[in-house]
Amino acid sequence: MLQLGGLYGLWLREVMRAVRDRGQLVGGASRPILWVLILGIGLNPYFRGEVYGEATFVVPFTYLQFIFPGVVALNVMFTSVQSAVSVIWDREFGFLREVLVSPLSRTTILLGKILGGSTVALLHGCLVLILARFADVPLTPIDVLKAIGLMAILSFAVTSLGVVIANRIRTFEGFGIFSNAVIMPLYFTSSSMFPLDPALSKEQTYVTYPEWLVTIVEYNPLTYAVDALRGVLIHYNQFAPWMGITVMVGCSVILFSIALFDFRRA
Amino acid sequence: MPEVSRLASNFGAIGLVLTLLLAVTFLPPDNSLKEVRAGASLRACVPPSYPPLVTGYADRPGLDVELLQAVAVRLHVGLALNSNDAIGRDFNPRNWGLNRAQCQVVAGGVVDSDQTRSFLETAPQYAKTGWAIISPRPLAGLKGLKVGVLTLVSGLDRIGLASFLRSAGVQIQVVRTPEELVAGIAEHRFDAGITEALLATRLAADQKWVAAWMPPELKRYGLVFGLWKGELTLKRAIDQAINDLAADGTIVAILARYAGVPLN
Repeated sequence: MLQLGGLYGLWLREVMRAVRDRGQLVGGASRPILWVLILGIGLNPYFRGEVYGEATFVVPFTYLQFIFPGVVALNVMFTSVQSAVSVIWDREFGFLREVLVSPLSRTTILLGKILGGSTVALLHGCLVLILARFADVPLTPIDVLKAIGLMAILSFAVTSLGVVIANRIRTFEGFGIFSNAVIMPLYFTSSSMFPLDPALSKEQTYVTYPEWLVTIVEYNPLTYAVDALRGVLIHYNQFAPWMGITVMVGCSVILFSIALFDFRRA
Repeated sequence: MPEVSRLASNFGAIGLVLTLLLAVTFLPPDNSLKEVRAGASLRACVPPSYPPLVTGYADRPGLDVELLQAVAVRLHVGLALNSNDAIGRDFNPRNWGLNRAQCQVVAGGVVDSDQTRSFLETAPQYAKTGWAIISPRPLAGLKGLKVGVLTLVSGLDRIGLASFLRSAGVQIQVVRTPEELVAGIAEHRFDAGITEALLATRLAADQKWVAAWMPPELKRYGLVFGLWKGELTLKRAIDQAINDLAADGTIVAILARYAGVPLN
């Protein structure tokens, strides 16, 4: 009961802190607006055919619809990693020391922080769903529920990754630079901005893109998370539908275990 | 009191962000509808003849043409038909040479499939299509039958139909017009005829024959209008118009006039 109460307290603290953080809130809204509104609309004409029967990528959606699940993932990822900065914050200002001497177990403390960060990231992911009408992504309540489930797993995995980074980087500046150096490459190589055409064989894909890029995309776990979200939101998968959820759950378990290992040693 | 004001401030900021995002969803993502309204006309590419969707007759222009006229009225513009001989001439729509400059809507046999949606946006489905069989009397089975097959410009899977009929042991003869198909059955050269479902129901009703769907292995599709990808404002307006026409019974009335009673 004590552990549960502590877990709730730590979770609520993270959520309330995010609610009061105007900067984070502005970021959560401006990212989808920029990516969907400006980038999506800006590049949309280059991904459509001008003649019936001609298209660069023969896929049953527009570019705006294609990047929409990727922008959901982006918002979840940025917020998750930003939430993890609270580990450095708490260490810097002594709050972590106070919590560590409480009767709460380290697992509970870490879980409370990660669940709090994940909740905020999940809410920021939901902010993007508001733009679904603009991107012409028709959503049913079932689609939204499935997307929320996937976003919850993704946010848990990425917040755990953020905590792993925060446990190794001791300064705010270093954390910001390092997290961007991890998040942006992960995002850009997750097939969220450009499609690996599933109609093509591997050999044909290598004609379109260099082999090293295709390999990076295929080995990037985020590729499968974005693909799972794409399957739910626009009903289109580049990979087997079960792969996304399997990779996300696997990454969540591994990253949380590493974060816990680091946290226990700290 | 300070607690209430702090809560109001915190949740006020969230409310502001939500309002901003909601407001963004009402921005027009393109100018397609504006262009149609500026030109006061909705341009549609259609085949010269694909009964009952397009007939080429002024008094009974066809199901798709009448439906497009009703949509154009709802959009407060006129309808300009661009009859294109190349539509349906071969399997590859690229060879039809349809581009954005010619028309804003493609009609006359567009089916709602992944393949169509790879190149075009699709408006809401207004009827069901697929391969159907007509005959003077109900058929017990297909094996050993001699059938006339009329494909016209249909976007249905002709290769799938041919494979299915071969595997079912059916003798096939391709015909070019509905009249040829009807004459073949009436003169007992064919035991039955296979064609697109709406045309099949029309022919069956005219001849007092029976019509039935082909087995479900042959896919059935929704009939739709095709729009160019990215023309979202026009798509929304046409979607709304078709939904309104479905709600007020206009679509059912047009369907009944051209295709008779829909197949079960």
